[in-house]
Amino acid sequence: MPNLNCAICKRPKDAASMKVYSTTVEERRAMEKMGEKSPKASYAYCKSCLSILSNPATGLSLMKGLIQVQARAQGVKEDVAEKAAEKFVKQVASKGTRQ
Amino acid sequence: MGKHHLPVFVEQSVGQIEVLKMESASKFDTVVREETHQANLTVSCTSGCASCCYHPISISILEAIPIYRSLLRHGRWNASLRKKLEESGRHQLGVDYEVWLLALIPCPLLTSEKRCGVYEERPLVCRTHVSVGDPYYCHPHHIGPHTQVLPNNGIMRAFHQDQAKVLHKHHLQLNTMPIGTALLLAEKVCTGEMELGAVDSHVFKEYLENA
Repeated sequence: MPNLNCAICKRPKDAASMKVYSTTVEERRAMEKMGEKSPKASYAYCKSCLSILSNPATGLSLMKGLIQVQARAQGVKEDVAEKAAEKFVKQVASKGTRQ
Repeated sequence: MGKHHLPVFVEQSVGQIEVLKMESASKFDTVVREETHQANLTVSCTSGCASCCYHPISISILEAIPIYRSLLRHGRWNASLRKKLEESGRHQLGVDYEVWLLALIPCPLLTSEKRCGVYEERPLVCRTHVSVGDPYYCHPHHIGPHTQVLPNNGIMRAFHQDQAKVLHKHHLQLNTMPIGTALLLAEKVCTGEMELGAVDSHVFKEYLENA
């Protein structure tokens, strides 16, 4: 079985143990808007990271943290990165409760 | 439950690790006093901050036994805590360190008031995590070049070496494991469900399942 790299932790894992999600054209456009240079057609997630993501408490914290880290790495100021991450997470959380 | 007496040579090792832990903590306190005085620094850790309680904590089985006994003594060892420990241990075995920090996964012993549930018995690694910078940068989402934590590598390395010698007497090689896993195994050892010498193989199996 080939290995795939987890979209979250980047560690290579056995493809059979991973969950692969495809992205739609709209999602890829939205990702480009958010600064992702070349969004992929699909992303693979390892079992461990998926269990963190699928838990509402840890999943939202992880998303918020990842956005902050990425924004800071691109030179965004600490407080701006934090506010942007909070806004994004609030949007995700509100979508989650509607379903 | 918990009334099972461990063999004398195991009890001696548990006691030995406790003494080593307290001596190391005391040594570290002296280092903190000296270093903060010399460099004109102030310890910024305060009760209820708990930012460092979102780091994955690993301890040895011998360090876990007194913590388990303390939880049992204070009536805090129950099904809900066991479930938390099991989940936390499983996660810690599989999750990447950075992902753990960003997901803000709390120590399973952190209370809802953000206090340590076993403060008096807390592990050495927790006792020696001391911040001298702005607490904002201790938060797992803000850790970076501005985070100022006093180095505890020397004290921890020495403690691990001493622990390894004691564990070796019981034919154990694995030094540390996730705190959740260690406490659940401490229960098994203390109730006689598992021999101390069987701990390593049990943890290796869990590592393989979660790798």
